[in-house]
Amino acid sequence: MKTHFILLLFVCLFAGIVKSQVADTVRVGNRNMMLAEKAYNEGISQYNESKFTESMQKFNEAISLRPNFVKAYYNRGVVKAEMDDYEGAMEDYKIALEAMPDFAMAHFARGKARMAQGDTQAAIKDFNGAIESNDRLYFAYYYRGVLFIQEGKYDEAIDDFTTAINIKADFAQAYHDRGSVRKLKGDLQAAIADYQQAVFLDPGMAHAYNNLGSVRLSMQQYSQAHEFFTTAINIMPGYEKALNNRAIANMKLGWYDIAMEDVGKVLEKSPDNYIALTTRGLIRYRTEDYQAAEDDFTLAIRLNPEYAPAWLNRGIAREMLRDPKGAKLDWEKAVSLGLIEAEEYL
Amino acid sequence: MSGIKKIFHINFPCVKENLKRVTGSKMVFFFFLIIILPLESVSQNKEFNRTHFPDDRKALREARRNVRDGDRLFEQGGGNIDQALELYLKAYDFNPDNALLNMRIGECYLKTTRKDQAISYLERAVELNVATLRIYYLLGMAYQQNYRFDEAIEQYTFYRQSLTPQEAIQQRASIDRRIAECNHAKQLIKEPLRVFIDNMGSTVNSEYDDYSPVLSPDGKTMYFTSRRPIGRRPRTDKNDHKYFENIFITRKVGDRWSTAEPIDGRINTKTHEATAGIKPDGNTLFIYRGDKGGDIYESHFEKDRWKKPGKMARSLRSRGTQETSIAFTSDGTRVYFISDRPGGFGGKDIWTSDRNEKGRWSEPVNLGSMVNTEYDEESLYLAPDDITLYFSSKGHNSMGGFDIFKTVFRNGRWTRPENLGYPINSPGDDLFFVLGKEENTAFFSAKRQGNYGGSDVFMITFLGPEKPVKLPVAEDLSAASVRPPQINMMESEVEIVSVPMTILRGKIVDDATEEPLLAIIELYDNETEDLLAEFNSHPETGEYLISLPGGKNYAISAKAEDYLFHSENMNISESQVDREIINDIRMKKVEVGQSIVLRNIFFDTGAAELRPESYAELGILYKLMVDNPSLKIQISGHTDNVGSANLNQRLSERRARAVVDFLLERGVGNERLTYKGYGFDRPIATNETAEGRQMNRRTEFEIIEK
Repeated sequence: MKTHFILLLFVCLFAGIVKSQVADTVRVGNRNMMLAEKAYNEGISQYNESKFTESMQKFNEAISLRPNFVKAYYNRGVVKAEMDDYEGAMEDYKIALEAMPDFAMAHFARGKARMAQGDTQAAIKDFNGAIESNDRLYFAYYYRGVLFIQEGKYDEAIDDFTTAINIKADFAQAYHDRGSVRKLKGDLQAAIADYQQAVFLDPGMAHAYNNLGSVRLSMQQYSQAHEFFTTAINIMPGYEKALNNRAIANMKLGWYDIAMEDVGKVLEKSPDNYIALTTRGLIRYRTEDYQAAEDDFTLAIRLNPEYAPAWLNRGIAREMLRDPKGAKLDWEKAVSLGLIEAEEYL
Repeated sequence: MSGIKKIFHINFPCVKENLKRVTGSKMVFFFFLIIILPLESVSQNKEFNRTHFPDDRKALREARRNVRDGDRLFEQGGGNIDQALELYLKAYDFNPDNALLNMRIGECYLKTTRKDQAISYLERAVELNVATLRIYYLLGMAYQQNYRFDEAIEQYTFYRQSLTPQEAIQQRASIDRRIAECNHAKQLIKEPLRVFIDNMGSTVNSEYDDYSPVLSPDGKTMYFTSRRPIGRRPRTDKNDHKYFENIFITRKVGDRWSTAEPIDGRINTKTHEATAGIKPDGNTLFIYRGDKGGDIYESHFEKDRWKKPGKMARSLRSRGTQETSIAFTSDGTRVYFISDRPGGFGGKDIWTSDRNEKGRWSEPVNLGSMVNTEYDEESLYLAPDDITLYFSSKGHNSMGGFDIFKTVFRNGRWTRPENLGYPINSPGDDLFFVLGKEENTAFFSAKRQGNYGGSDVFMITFLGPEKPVKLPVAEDLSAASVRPPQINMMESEVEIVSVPMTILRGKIVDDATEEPLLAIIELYDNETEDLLAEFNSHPETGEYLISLPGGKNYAISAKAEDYLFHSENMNISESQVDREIINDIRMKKVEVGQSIVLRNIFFDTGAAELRPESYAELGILYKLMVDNPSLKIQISGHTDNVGSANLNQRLSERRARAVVDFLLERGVGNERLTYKGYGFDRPIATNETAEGRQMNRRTEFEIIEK
């Protein structure tokens, strides 16, 4: 109904048609326009103060005073998106785009809304539209690159991040994400270079340090990994992912007690953190407490049955618990969840 | 080094002398004395005599008897060690501070599976200044057996350094061998095998030595050797005081092994019978018999029974030598066996012999120095592939005693034997390896802590290479989710401009009757073609009122049912703002002969191409034609009188034609449209003024047919 109403409003009013059945004064370009513009500007001010409800009221007012106020529709969409009303936001963006098909920001904003809703393909189309309308819109390249990662299109993602960097040389996030893609492609040295450039441009990027640590873990450079995780934690105290990862580094360094301390901090705050439970299971496995390890993996699986590492690792623990059948079932499950290395164990 | 002060506790005169020899420095010796003397006062050896135990003569007597009997049993060794230990421990309860007794107890424990118990007694013997340097060798052994290899090396090294030159000649090689074993062990233990080692359990193993398993080809029957007693009056071997060896059988039922029983048939006798191998077809069992120096016999399985063992071929035997283990290739043309016959590298070696086409065995050949060592090789097993030979050896890189090795016959030679690794191998004796039917299983024998007694049979389950775990690394791969780029999503503010307004008002009436009309009024921005407003005149008065921003050109049209539409062009200049413009509209009925001036059709001067701002009005005309499908009209073009008549006539005709073409292109039938150019022949205003000339430059349509 809401959609139909807005569509009707658009058909009837948006083209600038004002209907009156009486011979009252018909105003064109009159004071209402000024009031609409005033409300519009106030809406922006409210938004900038994070007063989203008030901001939306102002944009509503602007639109009622001037039904063809394209920017007001767009900005109201932005406010709605900020308030997680993505459907409402997309309706406003649609109105704006029908009035101005080359409205690059509206394409981009709708892409982000669709991205938030998990509609990757539609979001990519919108980012394409944004880039067609404005090929200097560096963040449209960036977000399209992010979606390409999700799609497994790593080369396309790298191209987009590189383009974004070429347009905006200090684009830390683009360096960071390009580093991640390179890591996924196994080009660890290039990943390190990108992550380092990201933290050079934005020293507060804790997750870049976390990822630098993760790369070092992959390279079995556990002491260096440990240092990066510690830096991430120093920047963002309580950063659970970095604490979890530092626990892994500690475990690899044979410092099991400290590893348990780190993962304990995570689980104290987030008892349902299935990744941390899996890490604790591994530490217990390493200390040959196979039963406790299996218990942790089982709990992790209960919390997230789709988390393949917990299945694979529980299989290994079960093997040590003399349960080869249970181990085989776990590895089969891990394979079905995409962890193909478990096939080697079957 | 932390254990040195306690362990190297020297007080006995001969030991002191040796120590001086070791250090080569009196200063160092005095330093040791200074460190050690305070401890010495609490570590006093107590002999079993009345001086130390003046009050309990009876208990003293019993303790001395236990020591004496224990010594006798200890010297006999073998199966009497447990009894000796029992007596020693009784004596120890009476007097725990006797150095020699502590050493003896430690030695006994070293000969049992409870090797971990040895260390504390041997260490105590050192503290009590036992009067023999051999204590350091024993302590080295105790440490080695208990995986304390660095301490073992320290003790062996100290012992070696304390030997006299003559002793060194005799013992140095064996001490160096022990040290080497410790170093091998340290390496092997760094990379333990992923295996489960399971004791075969009480259905198979006993409190006596159980060892040397051999398997039937289907893996469901195991023959092994046991020194448990059988029969009414079991006999012991006077050499080691253990029951004679006999062959036992156990069968696999489901996942379990049945209770072992003596093998049926005429295999076991009153002397030693031990399993020495089995042919790949499972129908010939090789048996070691201890008579005549120790030879291998063979028994055939016929009619559901094992027949009386017979001697092997003469060429495979050697007078006065011992053969203990044997294996045949699948086709039976080659045999490998253990023998201490002359011509080897030392102790028992592995030998081989081939059978020719006539069934005669060739002269046995030593497998060579790649496989055999100066130490004993023992208990061989040939894998079903016929080229992989498993055997035990005290040489190579053994970590102590016999270790199990593997060698493969490739390119005409045996590969360097590979230690099977820890924890299959240990610092103790590990022997009699055989593969199981399942690919990942094997069996062997060893004296391990927790055994049922003596040597036991174990099953190995190989887990293969370590399975890498999946590290649950947590990452934020995209900054978009955790630290997104700062993007100003809002469109910018607009500049609010105050626009001056003009009031346009008027009345719409019938041209003929002047009756007020209800008409639909549409207002367009001629520049943008945007429809700015659509509204009705008052139904009763025909009046309308609209406020407009100045400085723009507008098209205003009025439509009413049964009337021709009316169009006006309103160019409201900046000077007209804040003023009121009256514009009454007279509408004509749709009748033949009626004509309308199209006031919002625009051409460039002297040109006949329609300007875009004409499209709004043309759209209204088009809609009129669509709404009245029977209507036929003529479009006429008119000019002012500037220029030649001929030129104006042609221009007016081309302009009329342009309007007709617009309608034709949109589907209005050709038969409904005519056009004509009148040049300046039909002015509607004076050509003397600019305003008049503008009115004369016009396009009209006239209804030809309704």
